[in-house]
Amino acid sequence: NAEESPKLLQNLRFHSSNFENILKWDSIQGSPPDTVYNVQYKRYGDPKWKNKDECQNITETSCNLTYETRDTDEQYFAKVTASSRGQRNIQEWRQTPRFSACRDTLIKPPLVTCIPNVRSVRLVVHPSPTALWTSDGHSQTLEEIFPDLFYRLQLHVNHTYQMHLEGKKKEYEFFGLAPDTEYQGVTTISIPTPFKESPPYTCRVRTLADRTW
Amino acid sequence: GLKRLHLGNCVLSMNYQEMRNEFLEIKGYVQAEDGNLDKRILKSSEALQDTKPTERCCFFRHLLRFYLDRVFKNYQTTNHHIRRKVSSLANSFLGIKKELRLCHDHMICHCGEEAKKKYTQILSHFEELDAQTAVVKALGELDILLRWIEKT
Repeated sequence: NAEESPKLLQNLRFHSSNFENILKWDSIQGSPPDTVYNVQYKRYGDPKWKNKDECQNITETSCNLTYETRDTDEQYFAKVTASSRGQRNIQEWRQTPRFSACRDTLIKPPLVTCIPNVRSVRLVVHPSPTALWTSDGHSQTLEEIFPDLFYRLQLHVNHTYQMHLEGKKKEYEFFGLAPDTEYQGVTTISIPTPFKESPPYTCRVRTLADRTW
Repeated sequence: GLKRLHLGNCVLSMNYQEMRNEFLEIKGYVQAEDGNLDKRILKSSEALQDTKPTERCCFFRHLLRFYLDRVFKNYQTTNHHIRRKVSSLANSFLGIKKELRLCHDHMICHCGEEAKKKYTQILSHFEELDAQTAVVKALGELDILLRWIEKT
């Protein structure tokens, strides 16, 4: 299907975050309203394409292939064929580049609870769920998938001064703060191999008033 | 960016992140050149991380030599940027191969049946294809090798 100007679909790509792998594409302005799409996928090195049963003759422009592409050691392709019900002669397909969830997935911001005290702020990082499941049926966390994952934490005191902490543990506390004052906590997930970094999770928190006087 | 790679008693450090970044720059181009999606050279059944620790060093040495002698040397492209990246990757492989030589000299790079069998398998997948197709496919599969290194 030579790359002539697209009539029915374009911009086919995987959008993956925390291993939830969604195939997305765009329809073309002015394409027949009765356009339907058929999705197939294939593991790199396998001879056969497989139909994604839930995404046959669909009108939506996305399809969840998380389960089909869940093996993080493997690479996959997806293909979408678009056709117009009314005008049978119009048909077009697109195929993704080679997709590897481990290499291509984006990391979502961490889940963090920010707990103010009088002169400190405690940040508790919670395990990050993914769309992957272990054979014994529990949802895998990023921490399980990437053993060398660690967290970077900052507490913005003012425009010029921030405090920094980093590590693999779950609880962190910034001390020496002023009572009844607003601070901003910023936490990111960092994975050295393969290198990935999440967008930051930001929380605004106000230390408690000092009632000891 | 340095990663310590444990191959049985042989431990070496390599500029893994730099190699990975360089491959990511050529991945789209090289993998798009590989139109044969049905075949694969580095199969999961021959994965480095699933190899007996005592034979990983030998197997890895074979893989390095395979890429240096059969892939990088024979890859042809008119694209200067791609060619520069490929030679840079080749240099990284040469550096690792030199480090591995030390393990070999210290007799901690033993070649047993498993390493030989896996390498023979990979070579046969490679030789099933015609020459230039095989070279392009093997180069496009560098991220599989990098993934094996990550997991070792």
